[in-house]
Amino acid sequence: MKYQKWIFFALAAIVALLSQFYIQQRYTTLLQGGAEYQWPVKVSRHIGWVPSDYLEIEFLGSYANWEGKQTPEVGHEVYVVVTPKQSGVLQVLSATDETPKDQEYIRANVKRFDHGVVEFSIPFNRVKVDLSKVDSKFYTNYRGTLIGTLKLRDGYGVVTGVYAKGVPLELATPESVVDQEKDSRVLLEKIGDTEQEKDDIIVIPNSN
Amino acid sequence: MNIQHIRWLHEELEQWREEGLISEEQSHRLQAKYGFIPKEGPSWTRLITVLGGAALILLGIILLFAGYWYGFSPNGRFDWSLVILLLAIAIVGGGVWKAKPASMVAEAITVIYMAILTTSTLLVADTYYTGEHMGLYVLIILCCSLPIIYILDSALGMILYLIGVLGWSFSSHPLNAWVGPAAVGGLLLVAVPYYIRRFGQYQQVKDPLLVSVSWAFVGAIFGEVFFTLSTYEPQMNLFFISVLGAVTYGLGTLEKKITLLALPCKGVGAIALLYTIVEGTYISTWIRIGESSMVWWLWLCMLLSLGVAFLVLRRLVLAKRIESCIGLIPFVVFVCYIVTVSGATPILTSILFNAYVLVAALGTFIRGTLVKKVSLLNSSILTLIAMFGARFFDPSFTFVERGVSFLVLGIIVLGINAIYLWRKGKQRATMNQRVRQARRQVADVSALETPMETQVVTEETKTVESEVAMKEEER
Repeated sequence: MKYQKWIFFALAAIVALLSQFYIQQRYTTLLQGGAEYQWPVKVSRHIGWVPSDYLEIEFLGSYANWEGKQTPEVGHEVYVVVTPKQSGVLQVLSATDETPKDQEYIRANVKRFDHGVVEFSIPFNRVKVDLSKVDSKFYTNYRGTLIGTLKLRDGYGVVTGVYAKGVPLELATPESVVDQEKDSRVLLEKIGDTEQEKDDIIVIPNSN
Repeated sequence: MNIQHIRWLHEELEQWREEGLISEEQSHRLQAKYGFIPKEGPSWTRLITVLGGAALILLGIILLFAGYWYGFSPNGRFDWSLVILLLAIAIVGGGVWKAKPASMVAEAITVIYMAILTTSTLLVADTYYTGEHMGLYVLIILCCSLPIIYILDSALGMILYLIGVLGWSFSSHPLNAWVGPAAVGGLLLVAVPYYIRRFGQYQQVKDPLLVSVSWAFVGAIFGEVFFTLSTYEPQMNLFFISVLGAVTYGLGTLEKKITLLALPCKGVGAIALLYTIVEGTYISTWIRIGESSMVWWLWLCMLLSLGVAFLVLRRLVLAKRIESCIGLIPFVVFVCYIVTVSGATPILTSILFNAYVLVAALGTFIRGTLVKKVSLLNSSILTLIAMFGARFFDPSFTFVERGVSFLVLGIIVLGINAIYLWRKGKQRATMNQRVRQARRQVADVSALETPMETQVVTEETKTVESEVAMKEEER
């Protein structure tokens, strides 16, 4: 009985320690074995009680046509079917409630559902950066396009970095307001296209 | 004699001996008899001071870590988390070695272990962030805590464990998460042997913590049912929660012998019934039920559970309990389901349900007034508050409709209260009048009786005096 207690305790201790390694391995497996893609993003900084080393990511264009059998409910998990363009930027195809077999997908949570279109949030919404080196303009009022790189595997993922015009955020400097404004007019669906046609850029006529 | 008294005695004996009040020998004898100072347990003041000091040290360490935490590399953070966890495991090892199971020390060690395990898991999860749902980490924490709860026989640990299960059930959860109702049901199931064992021990030794464990257990069972239904058949939530609530409440009312379970069953059952009342009074609920598909096996399940509810209702009716109207709620909900599915407008169903709740609450109120039972009065008032309170957020009515209804109801409640107070005041005045009259009558009667009593006492005194005189003469 005495030894039984100690054996039970030893097993519990081993399981507790292994659980921590399991959490670590989930992340490193994604980082090492996941397929790399890109997604247009916005970044923001979460000011908390403890100084942090990450920025929060907002994935732009997080909506898709619903192709599931049942109406999705807010907060529930759905599968967002994506396909990469030649440049690696992901394009959202649809969202469904069944695991896609042959296509790349992301596990996301439903934010809103209206007239067959589901708005979703991608849970892995953090990128680790050296905040002392990142220009604060990027996460305060930046209107240009930032590209986030992410690794995906079985619908799970991690964001590995954020780039402004191909330069890592820690090394990049924000362009002028005019350039940002011009950049923001590019249609989201056209970001990552190899040849961007001028027609895709919305030109606002000068009021004067 | 407490320790303070003994210390005082030692000082005083020394002084008395010097002053010559007592001899050396007497001083020794008194010291031998009263002077032994027993080993002192920690006083509350000392305990609070020590705990306060320890808490300050802990907060200091937390602050130091918090400031530099993100300055460490991810691997560095992971190592620190492991160190903290190993420390907790070492503490538990000490507890397994020395602490008596179910003792205060064992309880404290289990709680400390659970707190550190939670901290460590969340820190690692934050370091290696994948946006995973919280449920996964809660599952890990609960699975790793349970063996320690069993080894140290900790009731506090079990309460925290069950709260974790309950919290997981009611948190917003993704539908297709691999940790689902089955996992939560499994967690609940593995806790059952603990409860059975502790319940068996309760027969011999009174265990105040087991009542709290019972509350947490009944609550967790309800959470699991709620979770399963809302995940797979959300339209059935109202019906099955009403059955479970009514059966549990009924059993809690009838089964007074098992006191350990009576109150938790009644309490959690009452909460479930309040949920039923609030949810059932919304028109949107019946719209949702009307739109959902009701397959044949669901009807079969409903009929089977109604059978169980009927057994409890029958016992309540035979015992002539007013709680029978609560036992009837599942049947009313069932009728409302039939009415909705057969194509009636949701507003009609809502009116039917509201009417029943109103009648039942008023019936309970009247019964409570007649038998002067405060618990019945309170439950009826609570029911009415829940029913009308739900209207405050009900989008089925306009703000004007809701506003006017609340105003009118408020005036009615105040009016009834005023009438009640006026009647009570009148009753008090009548009773006081009667008491005054009775006192006056008593005063009059005593005034008449006093001279006669004085005469009787004087005669008795004379008789006694003459008897004493005769005895002295005989001597």
